[in-house]
Amino acid sequence: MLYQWLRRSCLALSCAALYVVPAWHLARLRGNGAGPAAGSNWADLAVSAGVPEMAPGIVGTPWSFRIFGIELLDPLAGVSLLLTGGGASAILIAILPWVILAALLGRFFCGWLCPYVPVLAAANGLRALLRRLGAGPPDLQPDRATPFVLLGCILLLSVAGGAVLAPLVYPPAILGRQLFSAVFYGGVGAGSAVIVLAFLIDTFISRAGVCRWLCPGGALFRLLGIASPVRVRRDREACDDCGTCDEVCSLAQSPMTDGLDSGCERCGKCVASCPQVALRLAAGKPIAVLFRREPLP
Amino acid sequence: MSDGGKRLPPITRRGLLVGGVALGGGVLSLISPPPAARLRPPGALDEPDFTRRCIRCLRCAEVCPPGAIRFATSFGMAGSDTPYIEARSRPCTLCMRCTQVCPSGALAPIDADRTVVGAKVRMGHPRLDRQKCIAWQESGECRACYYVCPYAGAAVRLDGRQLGPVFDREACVGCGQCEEACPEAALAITIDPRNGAPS
Amino acid sequence: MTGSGARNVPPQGRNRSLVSRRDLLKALPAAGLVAAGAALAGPGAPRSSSRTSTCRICRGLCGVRATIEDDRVVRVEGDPGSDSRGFICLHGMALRDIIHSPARLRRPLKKEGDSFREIPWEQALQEIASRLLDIRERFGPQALAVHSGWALVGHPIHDFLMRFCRSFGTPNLSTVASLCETAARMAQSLTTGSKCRPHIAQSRTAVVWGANPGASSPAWERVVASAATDGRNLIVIDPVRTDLAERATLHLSIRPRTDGALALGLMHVIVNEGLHDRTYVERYTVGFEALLDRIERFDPATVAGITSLPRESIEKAARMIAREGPTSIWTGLGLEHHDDATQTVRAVTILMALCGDLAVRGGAALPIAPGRRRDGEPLPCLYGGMTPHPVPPPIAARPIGYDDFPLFEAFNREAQANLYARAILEDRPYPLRALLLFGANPLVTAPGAAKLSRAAERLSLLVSIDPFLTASGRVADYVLPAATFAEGTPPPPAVTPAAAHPLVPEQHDSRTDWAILTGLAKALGLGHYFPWETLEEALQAPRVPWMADPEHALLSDRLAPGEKASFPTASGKIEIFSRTLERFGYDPLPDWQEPTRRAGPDRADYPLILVSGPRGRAYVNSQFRQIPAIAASMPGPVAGMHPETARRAGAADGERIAVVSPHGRIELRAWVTARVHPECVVVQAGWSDANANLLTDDAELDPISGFPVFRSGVCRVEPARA
Repeated sequence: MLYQWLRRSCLALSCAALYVVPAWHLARLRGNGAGPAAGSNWADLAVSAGVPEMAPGIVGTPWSFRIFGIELLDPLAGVSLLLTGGGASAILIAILPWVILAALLGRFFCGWLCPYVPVLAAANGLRALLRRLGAGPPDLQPDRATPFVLLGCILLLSVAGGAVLAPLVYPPAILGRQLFSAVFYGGVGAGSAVIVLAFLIDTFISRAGVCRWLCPGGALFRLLGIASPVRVRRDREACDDCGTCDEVCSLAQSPMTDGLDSGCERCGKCVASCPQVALRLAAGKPIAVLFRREPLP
Repeated sequence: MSDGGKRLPPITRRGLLVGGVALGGGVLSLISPPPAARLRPPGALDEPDFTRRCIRCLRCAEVCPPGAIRFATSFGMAGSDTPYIEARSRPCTLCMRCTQVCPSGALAPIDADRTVVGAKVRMGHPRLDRQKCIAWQESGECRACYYVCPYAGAAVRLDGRQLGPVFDREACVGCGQCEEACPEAALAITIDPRNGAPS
Repeated sequence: MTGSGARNVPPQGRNRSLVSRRDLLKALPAAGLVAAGAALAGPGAPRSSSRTSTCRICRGLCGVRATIEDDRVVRVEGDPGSDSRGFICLHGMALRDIIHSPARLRRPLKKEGDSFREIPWEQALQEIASRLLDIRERFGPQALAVHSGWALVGHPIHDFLMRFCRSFGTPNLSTVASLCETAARMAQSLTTGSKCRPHIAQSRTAVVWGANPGASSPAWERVVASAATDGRNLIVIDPVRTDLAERATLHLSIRPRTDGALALGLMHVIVNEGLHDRTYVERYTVGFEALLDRIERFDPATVAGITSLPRESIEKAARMIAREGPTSIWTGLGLEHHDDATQTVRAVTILMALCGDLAVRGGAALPIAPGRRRDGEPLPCLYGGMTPHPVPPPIAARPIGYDDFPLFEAFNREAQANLYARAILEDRPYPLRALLLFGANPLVTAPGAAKLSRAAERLSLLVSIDPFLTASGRVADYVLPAATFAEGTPPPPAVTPAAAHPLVPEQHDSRTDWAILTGLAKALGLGHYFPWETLEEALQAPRVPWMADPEHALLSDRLAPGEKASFPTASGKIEIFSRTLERFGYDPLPDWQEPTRRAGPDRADYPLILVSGPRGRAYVNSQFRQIPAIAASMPGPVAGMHPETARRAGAADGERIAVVSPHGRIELRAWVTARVHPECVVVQAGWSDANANLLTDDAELDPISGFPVFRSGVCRVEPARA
């Protein structure tokens, strides 16, 4: 349906941008004779000689993005900066679009824009394969408060250490850096080990474990989106308790039992999968539950 | 579900394990000795403020025309994935584009004007080893550093019978073009980063 | 049915296959990411190699060592094992930026309307050839002129440019000799029979006169500057206090175009105080007595007034030069870009003769010796006069400039390019309608840019052959992309020293000068004159004499029987009195006259002396403004002037000002410094958007060499228009 098509297009765009934007920059620099082994002092001089202009139209990744003069900053970056003392009003303005969207749509970033999704999809595919082979990996779950505790740890360590540490463990930021490195320097760095580790966790330890229990960005989006009025609603009459929606959900939500919390990313997979079309995404009373205490059986 | 006693349920134990590992690892990484100080891109704030502000977005590296800005992941998280410049292989060309795209002000914006850059940019301090310098040792004919210096005459001048380079710490912006130009047989120049001990 | 929260229907049946289509779809993006990462993660380390060669940007010919990765020059250093001992300047280091500059021309261009269209090489050569043949049909072969620029100075291809011209039937080959160094060489040759190379390293007193080796010959800067140390003397004579002047023992900030008077004044002091080398003068010179009459009126007080120098400095310099020898004198274009160029350098050369410094260690070395002169010629020619078979037939027509500057033609066998505009616009001495530019940009570098611009429009064919699109190229009919000296196919080692090997293949679709020249020759049906594949092969071919000029035979003197020649002149001696100059109707003795147009406070509209074109470290003539690594040292043109001058003109440092001469006006930034002589404005040349040659013209030329007046024009400074 349209919703899924739209969502997947945004995901594809976001993932592609991580490669396309650095590649475009490199092409600009290379095409103008700049790039490695070139020099270009003084902006106006360099521009007149064909080196790219001072302010490129698009620069960055979803972590920190500027498009035609508009600054967009991931809220995790903004909060970290405010806490480490590097904040300013410009920070607040840059995170505002995300904050507003999160307030309206909850944890939408994870479903619509997060470049970790392909890695997660690969891990899920591998899990499914292993399960079919009879070697199904476990799905260990820690306390549901874990992601918020981790978020707090990261922020605490950042304040204590005087450094913005979140981008070192936040998969979208890491992916942005590693893809940039691949494009510009022809290789990935040690940071990609974190992504590999995340993939292994998601495959062998816990289904969507990183997204559900570890990702500090996800936790922050959940906090911001706790009062989101857009949510999954179930038609009790149409529902026949088949449980397909619960199976399909990656994020430990239970639409069948109305057991949703802030972890729902509004991906709409449950809606699409319901054979009775009993679910829909609509505005209504917010879920307003940060995390549910009871785990799934 | 819990076994009715003082033991915590498995999920809570797992949660505490994860949290504990994270906290422990984080503390370890923060207290581990920092890597050798490196040249920061121009406009960088002084060290505690720089690490406080840099969000490791690497937009600065993306727009750097000579590809001088690099980053590296290290266990010591405080400096990990922050941008730096290795002048000997690829020096800064003072185009100031990086300062225009830093979202958090870790690199303060600086106009790409010769005078402004000369006054405001201080990436590091030049250090010449006269024992290695071809001009001073009169082992050949070389004035490469003087010719590439964007502030020749102020940051570096030629002196003495040998017309050997003499650097002025106060006037040097620390771009490192001299360090790169210095012949491989000499490698007599090092730019010591402004923030921290020489590497 | 109500949703009770308890599952009572089993999950939907899934596919029985191991991996479902849906799973594959999910895994695809991740697989794509991994594949992309793997593909990008290492094209492997680039193929790196190191190659030595020679940098040919200037006449320094420094040995270089280049690091090349995947056919791209990434680093250029000086080669410590070469004669230049590892020296390299800003331009050599920037070779990597020059060769790979995005501003390089990629394909041949043809002008259509107001813009260019890319065309294939074969079409370009064919069209140019057919247009040349058409012009030859209508105006005669001499209507074609070929002009080469700085990039081809001292290049062995020069002989073959001459061959190309003469096989086409035109005598009009011109080079930078029309305005660079030739006046000095002629003056030195007229005096000593050879050009003079200052022997700076061995001299006790070194004079740098109208030159700035720190900028023009950076490899020599230390050697020259060292003359000011260890008890030796360095005298710098320059209206600008250059870096070298700062280090000098004595700096004479001379009023431009009074150097001839200074030379005569120095001789006056030296002779009056009996400091000249009597034995040397007696044995090796002719015309000393006649000279005494000439230098009579150049007493120190008079010369001080003429040159604006303190009298004591003149006397001090004279005594240093004569007493504390051997003395070498490095002369530069500061002496030659005036309307008395040749006579001035004559005076300086004769000064050296009086002090016994010619053909003497520590003075001047004379590369041409008696016995190596070609018979029947009054001067040694720059042109070698030898060419391989088949020899192009002789031409009756004389090059442009022969009537006005016959000695120049005798010396160079070239056309005097400063007269091209006149030939194009006025058909004097005959129509000039086609011009091929090999690495030259005369619209910016030649005198009288405004007139030349009009002349370019009247040309039937203008072709620019250059790695970059120059201002001259912009108005051309065809632009052919030339490869730089560092590009091409390396010749076999036996043929060329390894030092001169090209570094990388031709960039884009550019071709070497040799390929372009022979391609054009073949298209013109002159291929049989160029049967060689490569220039190296052509250079190996055995040569025979050609271009012998019967007229020159009439001009030579004969030595008296029994007389032995000490110098390769007609008289066998240093000719203070030049019979050759006399025969050609010029003053046979050095002299100095007031210029006809003179700057001064009485000349209210143009009170200042315009000095245009002194060397700077950043650029070489009009080259390299499109190379950021080089242009960083000097992003825009400046006009240097003394603070007093600036104050009177209402100009402040860094502000935009206009420099106005009787011929034109340009706008640029003021650089206010006490280093510049208070009567001068020093304007950089080579900027197409602030073209100093809009301020000069081609009417006033040195009568002997045809050299232009670049450094003693008249001008004023005013604030730029808002």
